Amino acid sequence: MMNMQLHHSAWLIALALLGCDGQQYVNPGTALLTVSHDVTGSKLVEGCNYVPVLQGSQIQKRYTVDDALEALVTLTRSDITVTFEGSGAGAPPFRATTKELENGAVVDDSPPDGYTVELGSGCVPEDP
Amino acid sequence: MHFVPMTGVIFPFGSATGARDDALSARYAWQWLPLEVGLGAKVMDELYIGGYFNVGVGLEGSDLATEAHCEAGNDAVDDVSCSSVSVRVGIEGRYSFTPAEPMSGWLGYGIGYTVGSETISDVGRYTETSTATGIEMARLSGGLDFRLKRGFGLGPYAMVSIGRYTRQRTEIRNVETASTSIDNPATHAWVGLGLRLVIFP
Repeated sequence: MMNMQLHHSAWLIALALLGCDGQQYVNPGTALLTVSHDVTGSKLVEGCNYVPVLQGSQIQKRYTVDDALEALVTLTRSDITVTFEGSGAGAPPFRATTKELENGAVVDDSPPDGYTVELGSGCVPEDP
Repeated sequence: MHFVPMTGVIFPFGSATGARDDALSARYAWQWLPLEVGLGAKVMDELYIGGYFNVGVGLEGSDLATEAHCEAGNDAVDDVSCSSVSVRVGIEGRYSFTPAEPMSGWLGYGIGYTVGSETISDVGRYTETSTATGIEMARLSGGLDFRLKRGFGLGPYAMVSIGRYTRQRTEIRNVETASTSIDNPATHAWVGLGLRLVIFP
């Protein structure tokens, strides 16, 4: 019995030394943009994107909120910016840092009239 | 016709863009130039004009956040790989001071197009490539040619390639996610040393 335990332990140590302790992945962060209707509370957009890993990388994605409003989200590895077009063009861009997202969701304090805009994390992106 | 294969190493200096902490060396480590090819002709004994094309390959730069991801695997079997590539293509002129002598010094100036690219990838799950493109405003070079025998020369060279990236493109999982101009471009330089062959000098 003792022999078997020793054999098992030696095998685990050997595997760890050889690096056979499971595959390693990049695991980039994610950012979830949510746009909801103030009156109905219904979610009009739920868009999940990777937060880029490399310096200089960028993701730009446009979401149609409804007939009157579009949101353009731009992600770098340090910042996320949401700008509004259409009826929401008067609203200032909504900016958050990726560090802020690590501490929880960030709500836009001056969204387009009639909408609630929020950035969160911990989602599963579709293909870019 | 004048055929000029070269090999050497290049080192990054300056800034990739004007953004904070965006040094060229943070994106790209030193690179090996396995081969540069030049093809052109002598318009007079002293003056050569031709095109050049070279590719440098190396690892990721010194940026700590990138390195933290690149080192996510372990040393024995690392599933996360990071690499960088740079490409320069353009035209240049070279002036040889004593083209008929067995040893001749030369100076060159070129202008062209430059590309820098960094990639992080794990085993098929996530790949991200960030590529910057721009102009190589000045490729300043100089060296010595030793004529070993007829039709063949060899010698050391040094090169400074001064450029400016103006566009940035990102691909994630092989899909383009952004292609934009760089708002605040900056000047960078690749400084290189190597060996140069000249065939049909």
